[in-house]
Amino acid sequence: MRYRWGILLIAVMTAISLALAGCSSSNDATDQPTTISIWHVYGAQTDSPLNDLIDEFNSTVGEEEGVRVEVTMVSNNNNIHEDILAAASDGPNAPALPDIFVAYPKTVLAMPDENVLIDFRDYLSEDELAAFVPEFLEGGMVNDRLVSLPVAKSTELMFVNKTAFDRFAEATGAKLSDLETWEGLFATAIDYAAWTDAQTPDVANDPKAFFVHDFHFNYFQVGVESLGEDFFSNDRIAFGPAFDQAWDPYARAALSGGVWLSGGYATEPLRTGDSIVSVASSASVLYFSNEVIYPDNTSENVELIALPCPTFESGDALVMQRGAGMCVVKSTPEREQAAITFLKWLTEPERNTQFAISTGYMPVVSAAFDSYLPEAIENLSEQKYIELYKAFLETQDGFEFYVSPQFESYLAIETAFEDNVRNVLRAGRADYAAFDGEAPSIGSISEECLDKIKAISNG
Amino acid sequence: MFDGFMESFRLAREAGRHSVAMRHRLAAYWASLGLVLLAAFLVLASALGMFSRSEEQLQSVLHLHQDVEVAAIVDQVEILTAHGLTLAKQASDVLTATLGDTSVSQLNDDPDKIERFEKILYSPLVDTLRAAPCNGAYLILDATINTGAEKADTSRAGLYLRFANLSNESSIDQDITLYRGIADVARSNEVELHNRWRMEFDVSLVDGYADTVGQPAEGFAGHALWTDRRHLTDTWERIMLLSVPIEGADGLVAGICGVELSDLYFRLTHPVQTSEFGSIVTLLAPVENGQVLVSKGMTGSLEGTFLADTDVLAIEEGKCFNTYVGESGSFLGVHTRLNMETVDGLSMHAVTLVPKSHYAAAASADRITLIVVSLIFLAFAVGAAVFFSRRFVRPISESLALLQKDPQGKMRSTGISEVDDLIAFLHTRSERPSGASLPPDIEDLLEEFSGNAATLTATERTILSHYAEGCEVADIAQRMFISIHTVRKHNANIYKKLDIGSKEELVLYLELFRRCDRLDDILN
Repeated sequence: MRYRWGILLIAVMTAISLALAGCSSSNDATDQPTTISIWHVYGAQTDSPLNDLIDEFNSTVGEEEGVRVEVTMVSNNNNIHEDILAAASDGPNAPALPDIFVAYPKTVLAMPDENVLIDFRDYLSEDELAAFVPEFLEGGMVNDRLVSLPVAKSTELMFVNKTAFDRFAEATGAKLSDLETWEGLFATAIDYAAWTDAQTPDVANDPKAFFVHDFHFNYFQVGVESLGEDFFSNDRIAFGPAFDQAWDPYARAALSGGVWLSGGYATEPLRTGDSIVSVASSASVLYFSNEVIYPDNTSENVELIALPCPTFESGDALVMQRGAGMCVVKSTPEREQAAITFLKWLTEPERNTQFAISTGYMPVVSAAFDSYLPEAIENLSEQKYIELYKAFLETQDGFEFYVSPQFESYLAIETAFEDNVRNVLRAGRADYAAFDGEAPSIGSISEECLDKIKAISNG
Repeated sequence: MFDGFMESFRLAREAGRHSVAMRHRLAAYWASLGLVLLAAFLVLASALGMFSRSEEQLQSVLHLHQDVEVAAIVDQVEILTAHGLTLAKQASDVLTATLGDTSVSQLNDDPDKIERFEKILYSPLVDTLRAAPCNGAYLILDATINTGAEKADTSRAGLYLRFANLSNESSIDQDITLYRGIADVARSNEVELHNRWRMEFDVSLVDGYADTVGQPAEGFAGHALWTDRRHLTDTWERIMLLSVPIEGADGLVAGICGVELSDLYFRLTHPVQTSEFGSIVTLLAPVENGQVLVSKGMTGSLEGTFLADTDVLAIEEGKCFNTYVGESGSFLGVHTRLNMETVDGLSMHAVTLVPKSHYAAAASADRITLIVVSLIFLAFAVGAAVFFSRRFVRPISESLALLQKDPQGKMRSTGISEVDDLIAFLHTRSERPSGASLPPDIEDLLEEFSGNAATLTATERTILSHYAEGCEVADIAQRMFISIHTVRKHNANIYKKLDIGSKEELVLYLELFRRCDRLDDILN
């Protein structure tokens, strides 16, 4: 009896406190969103379809669940790679790590401590993970941890300025079917260089490049593998006979001036009319333009078509699969959960299809392929996207996909090889162009360049 | 006599029922004192403004943030203006050196000269980009590579350089892209073309260009005008441009140059500040007709808020700070006009905002703290009241218990003189009453009864002692292993010898002897 007062008082106080605390926490959920930052590559400097989707998320599910995604970088994989490594190493002037970033496993492997990233298996149920195409999930595994969640996958396709090609074909008899093999493509490139050089008889040695490859490294890697050899041996380039076989037609075309050897993406020379055929990621479709601007500032609207990647005459139909995944940086449970909320939303089958098809990618969840992709492709209206997905589906049917191996020095080898090949061939091209009359054979210069590449790479 | 005794018992019980324990009274007094103190505290807190503390704190936080941000933005604008003017002077010098005193239109249809001009101006433009707190720098000349090209009327040559990656605030090692300009300028300097590169500018999209270029340069000396926020063609970015006229060799404005601020750059360089009132965000936006046009300005980081950068916020002026209401919610804040001239005459302001709901939550938290503190104080006061009243009453209770247990025993001091006196008095009254203390007639009565009791037989005295213990006839028969009839027979003898008429009278006598502590006189 004598304790009743006290008990009653404590009960009232507790009830009031809990009620007030309850009100306060419910305010937190709705009025103070958990804002997470993202660095991504989808759209780069153009209108970004992912940014539009993020706006949609923020104004719908994000608003309901108190999550706001803020884009703080739209760039390319290389820039993100560098900034992630700088941020992860806490370098001078380095930005803080974002909550979500897009990266290939090679970036994760190069980080000082990959454990700063969450393992998605701790956040997604088995059923949720089973919705993804298993091989895509496998590609996001690093040291037995699922650190990179696939959201879209691309492959390499061939893009052709058909308007320009038709002019060339009409004059020389070249055929699009010649471009189905690497041998045919490079032979055509040599013809194109000679044909364009001849257009300006008053200017000597001004051939135009026929072909540009986004990643020369990929050409050799996939080419060698398609010819039945391992491109890498003990985490180094093997330089076996298949490499020589891939080198020869490529180098001859490059030395003739038929291959674009400057830096930058493949879309650049097509944009300026300096090249008319490229092999690049299917996602490049965002950056290709149907308008070519010539040096006199006149422009031409051209027909841009996409075709499956060429293969070697004696090689398998093998093509590089690309498409980085999303990594989530460990932070607070609220931020991590907010990131998962967004990624779950983004990988819902219908939305995943919508996202992929607007960026030139393929979706990553099985249900998207079965239920939404065919209809989405049918509803495409822009010609270059229609061509793109036609080539995409042909590639899916007729090619085997190749995924790069994962090892720590991969990126360093890739970067060095890319620079070395371009530099050596540019120098070789200058040598070849400088000689007149008694020029050394193109074959011997090609072999010299190959020896240099091997020497530099093995040095 | 018996009736009077019973009446006194009844009165005593009634009095006990209506009385309140001393410790309860004391607890109530202490608690009342606590409540009075609490009320005094609340009055004092109110007088000292503790209930309006949040409002004053918010005002202080907002103005502090605003002062810092205004200083930073003014500083940034001044630096950018200085860089713009310097760039314009450099471009003007190059024009004079290249064209003599002829018009810039001499460059029309001369791609080689324009390329040379762009290559010369590439370096100062890069220097401006890297040195100034901006993310892009540009220069437009009133000339075109091909006057015969489609849309040549609005196509003008120039250079527009932008950082490829806006996330990194360090501008030393950033990659640069060429957004506008001749492609070979980019290639010769090993920079990439922007994904949405074009060779020339479409000046119909550049605010103020037509009103400035071709006019006498004297009228624009020192002019540096900002555009409001607009979409950068073919990209996802929104920008503000600073434009400074370039004086041609002929004394006319030959073009414009300046720098770019993108909204992402502004967001990254003006991160949200966290405070007890939630996220504090910074805006650089025009204020027109009592509205903040967020959609025409720049927003700092919006982390932790739902503010949309497309919103228009109506301003409700307040005493300490203003309220800004838009579709994305209500905000509290302040704004300050900046000395930034804009192309279309908009009045740019620095605005500092916090979400109203955050402030309300913080103010609510203050109130909750006050309530909890008050409740804790109250609970403490009640607890203390209970504790001290018990502690105060305990010696009294213990003494009373002792007194009840052993009325003749020695009493301890309670430490309270008044209580000790009371107990001493009660102790005195409970002592065995002496013969002299009893009224004479009562004493005689007892003596007579005692004398009569001496005539009882041993058995009768035993039965009397059982009555003294409160037994009934049946109990006595059972205890003594005799019949009830026999007991009653003894009773008749006892009544006769003691000169009493009933059992009630017997019990009354026995009680009287007991109270006088003289039972032994009649039972032994």
